[in-house]
Amino acid sequence: MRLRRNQPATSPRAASRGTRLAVAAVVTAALAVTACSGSSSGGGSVKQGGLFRLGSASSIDSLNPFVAFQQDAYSTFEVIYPYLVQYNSKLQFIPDFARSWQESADGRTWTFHLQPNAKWSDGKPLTAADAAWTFSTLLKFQNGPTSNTAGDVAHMQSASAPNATTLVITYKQPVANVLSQLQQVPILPEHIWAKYAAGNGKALTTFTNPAPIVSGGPFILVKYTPKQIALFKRNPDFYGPKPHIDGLGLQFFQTYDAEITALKSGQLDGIEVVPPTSVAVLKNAHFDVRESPGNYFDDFIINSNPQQDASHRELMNPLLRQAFDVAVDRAAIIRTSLLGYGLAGSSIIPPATGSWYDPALKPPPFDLAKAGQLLDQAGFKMGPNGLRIADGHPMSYTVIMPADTSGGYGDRSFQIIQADLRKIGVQLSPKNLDNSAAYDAITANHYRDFEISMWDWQPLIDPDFMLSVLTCGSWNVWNDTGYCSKSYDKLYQAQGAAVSPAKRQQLVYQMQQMVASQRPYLVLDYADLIEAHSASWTGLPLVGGTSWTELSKLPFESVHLAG
Amino acid sequence: MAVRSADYVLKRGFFALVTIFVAITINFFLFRVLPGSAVSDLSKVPHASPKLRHALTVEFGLDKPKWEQYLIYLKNLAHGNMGVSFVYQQPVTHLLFADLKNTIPMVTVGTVAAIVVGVFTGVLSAWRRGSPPDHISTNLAIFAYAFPTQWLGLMLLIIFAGILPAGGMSNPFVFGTEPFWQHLGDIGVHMILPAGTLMLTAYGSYTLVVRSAMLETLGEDYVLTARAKGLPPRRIVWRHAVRNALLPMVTLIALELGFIVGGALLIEVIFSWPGIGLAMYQAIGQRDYPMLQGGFLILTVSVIVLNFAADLVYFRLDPRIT
Repeated sequence: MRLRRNQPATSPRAASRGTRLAVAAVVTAALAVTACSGSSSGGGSVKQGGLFRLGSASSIDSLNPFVAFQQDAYSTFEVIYPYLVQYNSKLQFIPDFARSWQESADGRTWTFHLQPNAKWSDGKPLTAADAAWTFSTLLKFQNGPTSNTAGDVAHMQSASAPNATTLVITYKQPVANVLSQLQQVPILPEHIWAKYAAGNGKALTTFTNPAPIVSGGPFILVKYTPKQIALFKRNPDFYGPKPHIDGLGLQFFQTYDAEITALKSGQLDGIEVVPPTSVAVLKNAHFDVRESPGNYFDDFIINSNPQQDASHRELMNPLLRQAFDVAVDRAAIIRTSLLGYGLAGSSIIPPATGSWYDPALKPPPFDLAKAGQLLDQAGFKMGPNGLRIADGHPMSYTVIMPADTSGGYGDRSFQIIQADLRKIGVQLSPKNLDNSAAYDAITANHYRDFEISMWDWQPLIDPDFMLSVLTCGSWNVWNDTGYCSKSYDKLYQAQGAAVSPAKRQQLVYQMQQMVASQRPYLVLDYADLIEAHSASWTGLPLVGGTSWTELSKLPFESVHLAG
Repeated sequence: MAVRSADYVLKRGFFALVTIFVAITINFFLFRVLPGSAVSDLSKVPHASPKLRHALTVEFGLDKPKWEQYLIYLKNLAHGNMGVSFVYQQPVTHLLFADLKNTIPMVTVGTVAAIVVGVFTGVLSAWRRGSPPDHISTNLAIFAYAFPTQWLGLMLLIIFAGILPAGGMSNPFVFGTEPFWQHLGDIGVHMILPAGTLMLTAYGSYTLVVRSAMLETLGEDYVLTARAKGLPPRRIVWRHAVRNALLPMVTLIALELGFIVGGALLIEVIFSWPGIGLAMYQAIGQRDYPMLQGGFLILTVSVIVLNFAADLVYFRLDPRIT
């Protein structure tokens, strides 16, 4: 299932919060990394100029951060607006508009020291007042017009600007993932937006924020034609390292075929997502094709509501779940569906998240004989027509296939699982629905009716969101399994307020183990992220597996013509 | 005559209005009986809560009974207000107008080209019935008609890679404003592949219908008389036969023109043409009811109005109709 923001795969920093000393150390290290990454301005021997033309199979649905849904919109905000912090390619937090930051001893007050003498592209000063206004507005309207970003200000109490370069944010309680939350919030120019926040704030969502947009990032969005093009030019007033390129163009396509044809025929310089089937073609044509592990997983969902309908309540049986898990031939799925571009799945926190992934969790080895034994052990004997009988009925289940997973990849993976389970006496039948209808079918009748589904997740960088999906409070909003456990919820609360990164990591591991042993999800695979660009460009680092990202300004600050 | 025509126009006009009203009603209820809801999609933000879901339901007026939503919809429509898109938070009229502006030129060019090529090849086939040009033309028409649009589009995309633009409506990477004629030429170049695909997949049906109608007409006594009188073949075909073979073409063209407004979804997707077909497709997935209602309303009204126009043309062409 996808978030409103279709995040690219990324992984988190090692520590989401820490003592003053730890933060200072991270900042120092990050500055060193930035300095080494070649993204500094000045040029030197680096070739300056040029327009980088990027193709996208997604789109910008809105240029208003309170309305936007698509990932391209968020990547656009990243390059045109200031953010307090950003990630580097090692997925550590590094400065952006904030040069440094400190956390109070009780973990409830965060002080950010901002870039001095910064300006918006219309010449107005860009100060801490803009940042304080942005966060205060998000807080004020979080149950209405700004609900889109409510998660980014969870537990926040206030934001204030004691002077032009200092921002102070206070929280009601210690929060484990403050920087991760703040990294997602674009700072908006108060002098443009303030009039829309009057009254009930409804105008915040109806303002289209048309181009040319008053920008504060490395680029200014100067032209935007919906569903066709977004054009950015270098912002000479940017407070950070100036980009080497004169401009950036983003063209939207509806199909990969047209996008890849455009790249191959020189109408584009790069594309942000390459389907596995096109990798060989582009490599043969001497494009720079880069694959990296994705923060993404495909899963099989087994109804985990103990109160589910009696006609399929055997799905709660741990032996059945274990049998299904070992009957999934993950190697075949990766070979056939992903053409080798992926890893076998084991945990709901993907390995691409670095230290948040519990390395003790290994994908269960494929073993049909063992799967059969486990079903025997559960008492599900083989019936007359090759189907096992569970609680008096044949083991035949409907698998809800949302539009996200139906089509090439999903159908192939499903067929592999279907064929293997049939060999051990279990029948699966797909039921294709669009995403909205699929989620409603899963949640129907308080999760009592559905049996199995096959879907995917694109988690955020910090594990908090992905872990929240299985909580009882997430029923009917995000929860797609019917899972609800008081002990799991308790662990979730504890990790969200864990002061020590080590303690939080331990709790996150514990939750992953709990999910892996109770199996509301069978995690099938982690698909790679693949992108390609022409060899005439260089200096385009990947941050979280992609260069056109909402995580960092670095890639398009540093990209330049080769030679 | 005047009484007959006034009576006919009133009768057809009344039927057209009733059809539009029925279509408006069906448009409203059809999407609401589908499983899934707009709120499911729109509440997909981190840390969303049942409270947010409820707030969105209230905001969109989806908490009200269906009949009340229907009355509000009718009242707004009477004021020319199609509502505000749930997803884009912009007036539907404004969004759909922008899409229509893109769709109509491309689909019109493709359809008109298909009609011209179809009529020409149909007449040629009928006139040269049984000759090699007839065989070639008829078989080509059946062949093109049978091609799935998406396959033909992709093939053209691959064949013309590097020669014609792969997608979009104009050269996207132009910072300033292009001079008018240059911009027009640019759109024309981008239109060749999508309009060409549309033409190729649509012209076959015109060829076959025109050929069949022409053959019938060419067998009539008055054509034989014209021949006997020694009229030149071109005059017999274009002045006598084609005019009388036009009736089935009028029906076909009226129906096809109605669908111009609906866009050509597959073609718009393949060539990334930002039109109304694509907008409707996305709106269905997002359960954006106001967009769906607005889009289908425009489609329905245009089909009905063009059918009404076809009725009037029929009336003018065929005095037997009352």
